[in-house]
Amino acid sequence: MDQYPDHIKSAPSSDYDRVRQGIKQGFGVGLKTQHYAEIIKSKPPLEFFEVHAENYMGAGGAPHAYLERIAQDYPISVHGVGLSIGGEKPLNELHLQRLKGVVERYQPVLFSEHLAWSSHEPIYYNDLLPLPYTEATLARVVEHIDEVQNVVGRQMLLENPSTYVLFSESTMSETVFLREVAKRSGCGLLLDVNNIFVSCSNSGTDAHSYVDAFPLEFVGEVHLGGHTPDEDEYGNPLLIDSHDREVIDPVWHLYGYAIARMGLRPTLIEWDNDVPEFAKLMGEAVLAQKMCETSLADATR
Amino acid sequence: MPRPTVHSRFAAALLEEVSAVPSGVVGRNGQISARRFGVYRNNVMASLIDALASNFPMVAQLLGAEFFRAMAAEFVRGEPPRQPVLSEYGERLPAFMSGFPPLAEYSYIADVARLEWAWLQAYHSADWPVLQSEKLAALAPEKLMGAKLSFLPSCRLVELRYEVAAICFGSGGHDCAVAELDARAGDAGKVNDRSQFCVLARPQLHVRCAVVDEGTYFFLRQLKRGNSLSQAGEAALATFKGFDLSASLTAGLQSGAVSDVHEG
Repeated sequence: MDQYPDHIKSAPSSDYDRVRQGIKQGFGVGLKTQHYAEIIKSKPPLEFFEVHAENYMGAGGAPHAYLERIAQDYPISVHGVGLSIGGEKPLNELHLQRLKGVVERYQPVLFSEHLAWSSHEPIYYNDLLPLPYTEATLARVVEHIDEVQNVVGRQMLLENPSTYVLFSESTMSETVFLREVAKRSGCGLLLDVNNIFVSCSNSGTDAHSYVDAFPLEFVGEVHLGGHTPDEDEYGNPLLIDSHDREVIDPVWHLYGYAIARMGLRPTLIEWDNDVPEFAKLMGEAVLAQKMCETSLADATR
Repeated sequence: MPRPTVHSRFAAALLEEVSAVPSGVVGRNGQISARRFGVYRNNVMASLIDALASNFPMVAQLLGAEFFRAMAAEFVRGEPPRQPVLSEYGERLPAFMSGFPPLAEYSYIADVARLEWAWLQAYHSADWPVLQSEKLAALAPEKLMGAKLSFLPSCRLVELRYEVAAICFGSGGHDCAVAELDARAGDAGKVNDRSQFCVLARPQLHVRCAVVDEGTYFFLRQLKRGNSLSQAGEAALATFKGFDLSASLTAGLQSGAVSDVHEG
C-alpha cells in the first residue's frame, strides 16, 4: 500500500510462523509510539511486544498501520487497562466488545487485564483502583472474568495490583484471592513483580513471603517496571507504581526468586512515562534475561 | 437506604476538590492515611489532565502548563470521562472553553480546540481510499451534475470564528499539512477575527486541513448531506453571489476528503 512511509513497507522477517505460535518464555517490552520506527527498522532481538488495548481501539490510521507492521515480525501481547474487572457494577459491554475487536485483529499470544477497578458507573477514572478481598468481591471478579473469557473467546491473565491502601473489610489475602479467582474462572495470572514489591513495602509485609504464597502454577506472564519512592505522613514507605524509570535491584532479586521457583515465563519490561530511548528499554530486557539465567543456574546447582 | 459500598465511597472521594479518606480504607497497621489515598486522587486527576493535554496539545501550549492544568481540572470535575478510551475524551472541552470566564479575551483558543478535536477524529478514523480522478473523468458529462459524492470517514467540516488553522497546525504539534485553497487565507502567526472554513481529511496516514472559502464550505456540506452536484450548486449559488461550482468542486477534490462519485 502506498500510504505507508518507507520504513513500514520494509519486508517482514522470515520467521513469520513463529508469530502465530504461543509463547511460554522470552522477553518483551511495552510498545511505545516513540519507538515504532526504530523497531521496524532494526528488528531488535525480543520475543514479543505488549500494547495497551485501549490505545488501539480507534478505527484506523497510524496506530494500526504501525502495529500491524510490527505484528508481522513479533508476537503481540494485548494488555487491557480499562475493563474494570474489580468493579462493583456489570462490565461495560461496549468496551468489552471493543477489546474483543483488538484481540481479533491482532491475535495476541498473551492477553491480560488487572485485578482492579477503574470505572464506577457512569465515570471512568483512568486509574487501577484497589478492591477489598471478600467472598462477595471474589464472586463478582470471577463472574466478570467468565464474561470476558466467553466474549473474547480465550483465556485471560489477571495481574496482581500495586496498592497504596488496604480495606478493613477484607477477609482474605491477595494471594488467596488470586488463587481462588484462577481456580474458579480458569484464568491465568500475570505476576507483576514490581507491584508485589510496591504493595508489600506499602503494607509493611514481606515480598518474598508473598511470592511463596502466590499460586505460581497459574502464571503465564511476568511484568517488571520502575516505581517512585515516597513516604506517608507517618514516615512509612509509600512507593508509587510510576513505570517511569529502571527496575531497582530488590525487584530484580525478587524476580530471580520467583523465576527460580516457577521456571521461565514470558517477561515484559513496562516503561510508560518519561519513555527513554529504545536502547535503554532494550537494556532492561537484557538484564531480565541475565537475571533468569543466573537464578535458574543457582536453582539447579 | 443501604449504606454506600466501599466502591461508591471510594469513587465519590476521587474527584472532589477536598475529600476525607473514605471509611474502611486504611494504611498499614490500620492507620488512616490521607497521603496514601491521595495517591489515587492524584493519579486520577493528573492522568485525565494529561489525556486532555495529549488530545489538545496546541491549546495546552498556547495557554501554558499552569493555566491549562487548572482549566482542565475544572473540566474533569464537571465532565469526567464516561468510557475508557481516552483518545475519545474531551469532545466538550471546546464548548467548555467558550464559556470559561478567564478565557473571555482569548476566545480564539476555543477555536483551536475545535480544530484539534476534528484532527483527532480524523487521525483515528477508518482507513478509506480517496476518489481516483479517472473515475470522475470517466463519468459522462451529462451525468456529472446529477452525481453525488461520498466522503472519507475521516472528513470533518469545521467552521471557525477565527482564523486559527495556521496557528493550530503550523508549528508541527500535529502531523497535519495545511493547504490554503482559499484566496484570502489567513497569515500564519496572526489571529484574524474573521471566520475560517476548514475541511479535514486523512487520505492516507497523514491528516490534511484544507482552508476553503465560505461558498465552497457550504457546497461541500450540501454534498456531504447527500445532495447531488446540481442541487448543492444551486443552493450555493442562491446563497453566495459569484459561487463558482467548478472551482469549488476542484477545491473539494483537492482537499482529499472525497472518496467516491455515484451516478444520480
